[in-house]
Amino acid sequence: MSEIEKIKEQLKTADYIADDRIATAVFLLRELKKPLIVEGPPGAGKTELGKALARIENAELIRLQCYEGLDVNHAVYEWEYSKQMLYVQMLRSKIDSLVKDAGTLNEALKILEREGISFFSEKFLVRRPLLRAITGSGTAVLLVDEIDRADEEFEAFLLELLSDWQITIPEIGTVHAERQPYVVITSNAVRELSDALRRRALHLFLDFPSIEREKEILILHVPQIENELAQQVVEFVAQLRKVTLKKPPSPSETIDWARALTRLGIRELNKEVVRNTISTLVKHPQDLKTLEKEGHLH
Amino acid sequence: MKSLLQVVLEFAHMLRQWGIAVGPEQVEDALHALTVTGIHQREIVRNVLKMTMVAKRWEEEVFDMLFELHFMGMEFPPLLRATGDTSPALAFILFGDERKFLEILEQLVNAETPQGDQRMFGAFLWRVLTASGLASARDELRAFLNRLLEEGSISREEFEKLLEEGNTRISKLREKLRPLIEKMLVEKGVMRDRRVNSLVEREFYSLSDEELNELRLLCRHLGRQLRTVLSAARKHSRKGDLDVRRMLRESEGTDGVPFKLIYRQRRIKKPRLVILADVSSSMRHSLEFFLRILHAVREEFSSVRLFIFVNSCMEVSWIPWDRNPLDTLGHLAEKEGFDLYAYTNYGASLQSFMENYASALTRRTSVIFIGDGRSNYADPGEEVMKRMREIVRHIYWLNPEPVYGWVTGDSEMKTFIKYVDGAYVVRSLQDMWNFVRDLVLGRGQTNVTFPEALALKG
Repeated sequence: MSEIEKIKEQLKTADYIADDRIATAVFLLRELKKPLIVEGPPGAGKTELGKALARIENAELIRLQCYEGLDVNHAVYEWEYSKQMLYVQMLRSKIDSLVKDAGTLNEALKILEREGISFFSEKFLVRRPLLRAITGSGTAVLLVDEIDRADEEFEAFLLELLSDWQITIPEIGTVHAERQPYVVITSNAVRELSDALRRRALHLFLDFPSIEREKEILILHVPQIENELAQQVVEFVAQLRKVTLKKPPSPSETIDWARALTRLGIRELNKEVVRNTISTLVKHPQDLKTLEKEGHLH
Repeated sequence: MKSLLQVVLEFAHMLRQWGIAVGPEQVEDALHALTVTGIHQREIVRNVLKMTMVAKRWEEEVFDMLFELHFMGMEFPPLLRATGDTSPALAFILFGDERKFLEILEQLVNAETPQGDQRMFGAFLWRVLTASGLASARDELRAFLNRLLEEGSISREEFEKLLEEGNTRISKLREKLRPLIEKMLVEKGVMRDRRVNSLVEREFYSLSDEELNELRLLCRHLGRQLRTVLSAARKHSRKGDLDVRRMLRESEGTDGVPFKLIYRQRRIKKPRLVILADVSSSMRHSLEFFLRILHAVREEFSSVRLFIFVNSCMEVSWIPWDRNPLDTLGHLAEKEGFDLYAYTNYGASLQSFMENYASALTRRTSVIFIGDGRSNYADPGEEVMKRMREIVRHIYWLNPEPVYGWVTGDSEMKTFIKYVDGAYVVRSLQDMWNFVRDLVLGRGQTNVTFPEALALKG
């Protein structure tokens, strides 16, 4: 069995149905130890791929959900201000007694330094996902979700991490990686990613699955579904995706719909069933109107 | 046999020529991965190369095309490379099926990857001639026939006849080889400069379907070029005057001693675009390429709205501008009952625009008309133009007809030109490119306007 086939099998045990491209991507990620950028429409299974990877690697999954305005404090590290203040309060009398002989401010500072009292030390450091990903032991998968939502500045932090496996914290210095996590970055292509980041990564463009693959996915997640119905469901969904919709149904919605259908004890699709349950599949009111107009519901 | 390294390097080189940035690191990655996966399965090779080398979605299409081109040769190792002292090709050249031979020649040509510039053409032709056996075919033919003659298998007469026939055939094949190589060189990007420049400069109507497709592929490349030009121009024009107020405020931190010079940043005024496009059949290519080029710099505008008209007006801003926009347009028109094949009527179209979409026009709007201004002798809608003129910032007119056509027949350009800031003849992609560049740099009026057109205005 080829490497690629093996990876497919592994991913399947982690509840992820992969095609050749996806398996190749995972293979490259492991082999080259490079970050993988997964681009594609929402719901195509980008995030799931990261999770499945963590499962087959038996790795700690560290997820960083990006959003507009995400900054170092939330992505890399933060000083625990309140804890620092608390320490100062608690140690006040102790500090007083230490520095009571000091004549000047300078001397007082020197005494404190000698005593090893530093308020910018690891003790007061809150580790955010990026820092956590490179410190610690064992394998880790760092899943940077929807990076296109974060600002471009954020990409710069990420770049330092991904190219040199280190993070600079001004007050402490440079933290070198204790481990190299697998990195999966997902993007919905809301914004173009910077060339610097692209250059350092592998790329996988993930579209909605083919009919055959989607059926496999469906059967994996809704095992009680009958073969006949599964086929009808994926074919219907594939047809819907051809219509210009604001939000075409994703595999996860296909699964939801199929679950609803089996729960309702439906064994065969017909117009009435579709019309009554379509809202689990198509969420946007305008899309429903479009479908109505184009006669997909009749 | 070429080594794997060589094949991958050559492929990377080819990608670069098409504007896909492939660095040494990517090549290294690809090689590393291929040594593990092996190269027996074409699709695996394709996926590995794609994921390591292609970084953007649009590049995928180009990649697939080039992959086919480049690796086609790998499955057909050159059949005809001469071995031993006589060319095995001779018999084929003389007696074989000509079409079959040309097919093999084509494979041979495509298996080669040329490097360097166009001057290589001669050397390259020679290589293929040698490899195919065509180069030495004449001498070999003579030697072969001589042998037959000496053996007494053929008569002197037959010798002459066969020699002439053979030579004619060889010449014919050699002639056919030339365009084959030329085509390959263009496909592999070596001869791009000459051919492509002419493509960009050629008028849309004179291009074949194949050439139009090539031009479409090029649009992305030209779009990137445009962005580069813009950001370079921008850098020089960004800085404004000293900002004294901010300098004083900043100096508070240094006890009132100003340390830093602070300049006012000139604000980039992003215009709002409203494009009004005549979609009668004569205008389609102009519109398509305009959209494609404009798409590359869409971020330069705070909004871009697209309206099409024939004898009424409809908004189609949301069609995919860089992917077969015209097909989508066709579907959309059909769905909405918009008649693409009606008689063009500018007056009625403008009227319908004003009735339905007047709110699109503001003081910050630039309106761009794409049309030949031919209204089939119907009312040109001068009143509407006048009103539009009062509201918006700029009106530009792009016309694919040469200027002398603007005053003949049912052309209403003489009316429209009174209300526009600039009217341009756009007949090629180069014209489009120039217009969009000047539009974004805010020097629309000066650069491309035809003096004749201005004379018309007066």
